[in-house]
Parts: sequence; C-alpha cells; structure tokens
Amino acid sequence: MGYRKRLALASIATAASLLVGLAIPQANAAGLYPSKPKGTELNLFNWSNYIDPELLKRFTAETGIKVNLGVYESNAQMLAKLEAGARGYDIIVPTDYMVQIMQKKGLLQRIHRTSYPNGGNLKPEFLNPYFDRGRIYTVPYLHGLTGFGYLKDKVTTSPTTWKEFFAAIPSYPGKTTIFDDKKEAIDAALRATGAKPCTKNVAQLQKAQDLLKSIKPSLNTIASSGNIGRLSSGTSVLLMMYNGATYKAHLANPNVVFVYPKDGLPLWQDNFAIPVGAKNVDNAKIFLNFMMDPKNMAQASNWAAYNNGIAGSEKYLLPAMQADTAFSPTDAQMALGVAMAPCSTEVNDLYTKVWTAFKG
Amino acid sequence: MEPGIYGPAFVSFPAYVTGVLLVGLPLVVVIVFSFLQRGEFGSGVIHKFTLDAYRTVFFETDLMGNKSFNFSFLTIIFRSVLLAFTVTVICLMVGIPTAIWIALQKKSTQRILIALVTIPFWVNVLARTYAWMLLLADGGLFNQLGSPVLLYTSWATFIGLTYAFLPFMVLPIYASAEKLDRSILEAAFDLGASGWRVLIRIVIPMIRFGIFAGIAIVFIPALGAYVQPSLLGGNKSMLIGSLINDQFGESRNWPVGSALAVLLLTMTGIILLATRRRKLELAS
Amino acid sequence: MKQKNWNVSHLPLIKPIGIASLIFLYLPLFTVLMFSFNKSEDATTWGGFSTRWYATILDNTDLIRSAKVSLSIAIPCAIIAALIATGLAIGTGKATGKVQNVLRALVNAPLVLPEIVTSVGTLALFSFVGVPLRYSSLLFAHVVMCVPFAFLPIRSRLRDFDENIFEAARDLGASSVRVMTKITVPLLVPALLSSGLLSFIISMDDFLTSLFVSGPETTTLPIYIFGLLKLGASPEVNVIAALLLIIPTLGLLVGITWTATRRRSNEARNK
Repeated sequence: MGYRKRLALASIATAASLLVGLAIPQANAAGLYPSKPKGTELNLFNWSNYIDPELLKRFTAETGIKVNLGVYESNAQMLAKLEAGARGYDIIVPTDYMVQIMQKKGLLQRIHRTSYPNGGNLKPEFLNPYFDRGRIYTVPYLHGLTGFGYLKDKVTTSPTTWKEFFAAIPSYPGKTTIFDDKKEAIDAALRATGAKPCTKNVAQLQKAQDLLKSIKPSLNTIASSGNIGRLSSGTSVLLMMYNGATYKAHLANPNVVFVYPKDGLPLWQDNFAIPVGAKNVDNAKIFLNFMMDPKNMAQASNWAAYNNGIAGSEKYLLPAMQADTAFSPTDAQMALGVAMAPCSTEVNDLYTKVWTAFKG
Repeated sequence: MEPGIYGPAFVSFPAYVTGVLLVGLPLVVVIVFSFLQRGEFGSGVIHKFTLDAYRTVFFETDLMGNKSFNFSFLTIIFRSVLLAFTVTVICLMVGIPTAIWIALQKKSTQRILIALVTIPFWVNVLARTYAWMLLLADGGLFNQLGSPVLLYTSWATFIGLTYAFLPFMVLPIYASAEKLDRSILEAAFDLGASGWRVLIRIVIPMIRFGIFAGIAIVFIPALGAYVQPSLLGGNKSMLIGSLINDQFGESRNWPVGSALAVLLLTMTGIILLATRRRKLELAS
Repeated sequence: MKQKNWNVSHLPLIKPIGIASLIFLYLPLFTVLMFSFNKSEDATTWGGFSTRWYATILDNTDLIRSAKVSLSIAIPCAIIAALIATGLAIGTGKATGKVQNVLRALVNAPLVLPEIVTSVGTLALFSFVGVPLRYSSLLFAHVVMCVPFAFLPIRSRLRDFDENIFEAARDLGASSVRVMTKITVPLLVPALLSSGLLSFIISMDDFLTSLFVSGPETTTLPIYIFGLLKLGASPEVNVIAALLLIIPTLGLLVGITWTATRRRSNEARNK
C-alpha cells in the first residue's frame, strides 16, 4: 500500500476508535453496574459518628461486603489524608464545596449512576447542584444546617442570631464550645459582625478575628465532634451545633433548643463519592446503589437526624423527628440558609491567618 | 569490615539499611521540604527553593498588612518549651525522691517497686490520658472533691504530661541510684551529717548521670507532645506537636510543618548535646 | 551524735514522696478500672456496679477489626525488629569506629527524637518517593520505631557475656558465623524474647506514627480509640480503656513471676 493510503487509513481508524471510545460509556452505561460484588471489602472514609452502624451491618448481611470504616473530622482533614498518599478508599463523604475542589483536582471518578438499579431515585431538586451538575461524581447523602444549640433552662437570654450567640458566650465560661472547623467558625464570626462569608475585606476579617479571640477564654474545647454528649449532659450549655445533632441531643435532654440564626447560616450537603485510586470500585457502586434505596437512606436519616435527597424516603422517616423543626425547618427558617461555596485561594489564605491567630 | 567477636559483621547490614533509609532519609526529606515551596491549593510541595516556610514561622503580615514577628507561632513555641520545662522540673522533684526511696529498699522489694513503677508505662497512653479525662471532668472525682473543673485547661495538659512521663524520669535515676554505695551514706550519718546534707551533698551528685538521662528522656518528648494537649487541653492552646500535626493535616502546608519540625529537631539536638557532655565529663 | 542504724526515713521527704508518687501513678488506673463497671450511662458519675458494658464490646466490629489490624502489624514487627536489632548487636559488637557510631546513632534515633518529627518525616519520605500508605508502609514505619527498643535488652545481655568464651572459640579457629550460630545466638535467646515482647508492646501502643502513616485498610486500635475519645467519655470507652489496662498488666505480672521463678530455680540449681 502506498504511504499516503496507509496514513489515511490510520487516521480514519484512530478517529473511528476515538468516536467509538467516546460513545461506548453512554452506550454501555447499562453494563457498568456490577452484577455481583468483587471481593468482600469496602473501605469507607466517613465523618466521625455519621452513619448508622446497624445500617452497615445490614449492608454486609445483604451483600456479603464487609465495611472497613475510617473516620475524619473535617473536609480538610479528609483531603489532606488523600493527598498524603492514602489511596484505596472506596467511598468518601465530601461536603458540597469540597466536591468542587476535589473534582477540579481530578480526585474523583465518574460513578455512572444512570446504570444503577436505584440510580433514578434522586429527588429532582437534588439533581443539579452547583458542585456536580447531573450528579456524575456524587450521590447525595445527608444535608443540614449549622446553627447553634443551648439548654433553655441554663441560657435564659434566648439568643436568636450569631451576634447574640457570641455575645452570650462570656456569660458561661467553661461551658461553651465552637467547631474545630476554620470555615464554619470564621463564617459564623463574619455573620455576627455584619459581614458575609468569603469576604475579601480585610477590615471585616479583622473584626471577625477579634471576636473569635475575645470569646476564646470562655470556651471549654474547640471540637466538631462529641458535642451531642456535651450538650445533653450540660458540660456545654451553649455551642455551635448541626441541626440534626441538636435533635439527637434534644432526645436525651428536653431542654435542648436549636436555633436557625437570623443573620444567616450555612446550608451544607454531604455526598458520597468514589475517589480516584479506589480499591473496590464495584463494591463502592453496590454501596451507592444500596444507599439510593429509599428505605436504607431513611434509616440513615432516622439515625443521624438529617434529611436526605432520595425520593420516596419520606414515608420511612420517623414521624416525631419529621415534626421537629430541627429536622424540618419552616420555610422562613430554610430561607435563612445559604449554600456553602468555596472561597477563592487568596481568601482561604486570609482565613488561615485568622484561624492560626485564633487557635494558637 | 572487621568482624566483631560475636559474629560476622554483615548481619548488621539490615540495621544499617533501615537506619539510613527509614531514619536518616526521612529527616533529610523533612529538612529539604522546609526549603521548598508549598504546592498548589496547599497539597504537597513544589520543587522550588524558597525561604517562605521559615519566613512564615518567624514573621507574619497580619490582616491589616502590618509586618511583625509571628506572634502566634512564636507563642506556641515558647509555650511548648515552658510546658516541657515545667513538666521536667516537677518530674524531677517527684522522680528523684521516688528513685532514691526504691533504691534504698532491700533487693526483693526494689524489684517489686520498680515493676510497679514500670507497669503504667505499658498501658497505652490513650488509656492513661482518658483516665485523666474522667478524673478532671465536670462532675468527676476532682470536681466533686471541691476543685474547679480542670478538664480543658492547661492544668489538665500539664497533669496528663507529668503523669505520662514520671516513670521515664524514675527509671534512669533508679538505674544510677541502685549502684549507690551505702557505706558512704552510713559514714556520712556517722559523722553527724543531717539528712538534708547527705541528700544534697552526697546522694544527688552521685546519681547525676541518671538525672541527666531522665531530663533528656522527659523534656524531649514533652516538647513534641500531641495527645495530651488535644484531649485534655481542649484543643485551645496549640503546642508544637499539634501545630506540626495541623500543618501536615488540616492546614496542608507541608513546608511550614517541616520548618517547625526542623526547629523541634534543633531544640532536641541542643538538649541532647547539653546532657551528653555532662556524661562524658563524669566518665572521664 | 552517732547514728548506727540509719534508714531511708532519715533522708528527708524521700519516703513520703515515694509513696505519694505510687499513689499518683495508680489512682487514675484504678479509676478507669472502677468506672468500667459503672452501671450508669453517664460515664463520669458513678451509678452502681454492673458488667453490662463489657458485653457490648464483642458487638463492636470496628473495635475488633482495628485490634486485628494492630496485631497483624505488631507480631511481624516484633519478629523483624528483634532480628534486625540482634543483627546490629552481633555485627557491630564492641566496634567504636566513627562510621559505626554514626550508624548506631541513626538506628537509635527514634528513641531520642520526638515522635512527631520521625512520623512526619516518614510521611514526607513516602510522599516524596511515591509510596502509597498501606500495610507495608505502616509495617516499615513500625519496625524502624521498634528496633532501638528491641536493641536495649540485647545490648544489656551482651554486656553480661563472658568474653573469654568468644575469644577461646576464635582461638580454636571457629569462623565468625559459627561463633554466632553456636554461641552468641543461643546465649541471647532470653534477650530475644524480651526484645520481641518490647517491640510488640511498642507497636501495639503506637499512636502518632500510625496516625500519619495509616491508610484505608490500616486503622489501628489506638487510632480507632482516639476517634472514640474525641467523642468524649462513654461507658464503652470506659471498658476499652480498662481492657487496655488489664491486658498488659496481667501479661507483665505473668512475665515477672515467670522470670522470678526461673531465677529462683536457677539460683537453686547453682547452689
């Protein structure tokens, strides 16, 4: 064959295979869901105390896959572990803004949700979040809001805003707690001083830093976990709290109250994702499918006391929990929620300065 | 290499390999990383030489653009040194008498007492720290006996560290003290010396060796402590250990974390040199 | 004034401080032990005696798995570290050359450097070279940490050796390998056991290095427990802490009585 002819044939073949290669995922999407588990392990990297142990046991009973649970306390910690070389986690649970960061860094793999038996179970309003349009990389897990909680028999001033929250802290020295979370703490302090999260305004950040430093002597610990016990036992009477965690504390102590601060609060969405380098991708997909079953996701919601994004789960939720405003905010309360979005790198560096000045 | 009298020299090669590869190299890498640039979005390092990490440790520009010494970091370093120093002093004040007391018992009693001192050392540090979480909690034993709640204060960190390191102080001093020549003490008492004189002029100088070893064994790990400040101290006052952990974890700034580690290494080296020279003096 | 019969009470404060320090060392341990039998669900206030929480431990699959992970690291680590340390002791003998001293200092470094430095160093090295954080990386990190500890009993045993035996063997023409296999190693066996045991305990108890170098499948027991501790005091943690207390103590007591009876029977035999 002449040289030119060979070149032409080669180009056509390459182009054709490229097209076929691109087309195949869509065409064979149905074939991407594993027919059975591969091996017996699943490495789950989740927030501390964030999934019902009984649910995991049922997963193992139904699929034969054992779950190895690792825990972390913040998105930054999870990212740090992955970037330090810990490959092999099959499922991670990043919050919305972290999904965007990780996806930009190429750390997540496509989950091919449409090929799953339960893949269509998402509530329509959860299908196109800003951080994952079309839900290509994630499945929604639980969502909630970060406000604050207090014991109404101990804190009689009834704070309703972040401003009042911070103002009340010095009155209860040694009995107050805020999260060990740079973003949450600084965002709250910014709201309390009349600014918005992710602000570039240095003067506003300085005011937030001063506020945080001023309340530090009155805090007992700076922690994101262990607060349910702290609040229900009265070790802390006023603290930064997730809404669902506060509901659980309320079950143990009826004096517990959750507040949706009127100066705004973050609305966050946690998601399951499969990181690049996952060891048991097939089992991860089976897990995701399992969690998209409304009965299973409802069990997770019932245990953690947060709502979820799976259609049909409502009928399995505990009625008492559904009736409580900590679980189901009113429209007015929901309107106060602002979706968390990542700040720019330069603002992040400013946040780090504030945080180190505060924590050190 | 000349074979030793116990066996061929080559059997020590695995030790040398692990020593160089897994002890020497990590230290080298940490030193190198402290001179590199922080990676994009904070992850890892970029292989470009810079003094940024050290600049960050010592100096800072605050939010308003004012340049000054990095008071946050320098406070943390100073606080760690102060805490380690205090813990060492208290361990000395309790450990020296305890070691002497044990060494002056009869042999069989000595063995029992030393075993008793050693046992806590074998219990996981987390369990021992947790014990103090129970004792110092709001409503815990100390609180019920009238003390203010100590959990989540610097006092708790201090108590937890002293508790963890006391056996470390007692054992080397005891090793020195058990070789005490009792006839010298007897002679001193016969000559009419008071107890204090015997203690300060005779016993303590004779166990100097063990004391220096104890100081090094307590001060250095206390400098780099992480568990106690995190669980007992309420995570509020960072020490060097928690700061380094933070820079390698949550804050994702490996060069700064490495620079701090280098700083800690340097301080360790100084302590080791200071206590080693004394031992050499004694030996000669 | 002549004091013929002096005793330790004549040295001021020695006895009271000594006794006080023993109380100080054991008060927390007894507290944990006691509270593991606390009936109440509130972990920090006493509510009566009960063993109910001990039963829940067996249900805790995460706890059991992390214990298995720790054992799967500690046992190989103990063996490898003891072997490496023995090799070091035999191979270097009493040599005091500059190279040997530096190398010995390096091998012993984990003993004197703060663990935070060695652990971030190990992490940095693995990251630099591109080694992922998995079982083998954690095992290596543990071995390196245990070798200096493993070295201690062996070195002290070597010091007790009668060197004449070795010199005689060399004079008789035995090769160094023969000396090692026929004389040194058999004499070292009890030290090897202490070495292995020491390394085993160090590895089981290690927290900081494991925290930095652990990966998806290597959540060790201390890492798991630390996560629980961050959630605050609870009856389950009381039991776990009590077990962490009881098991090594029992093991040590058994070990001590065993060595004591061996010593006594040796002394009796030698009479």
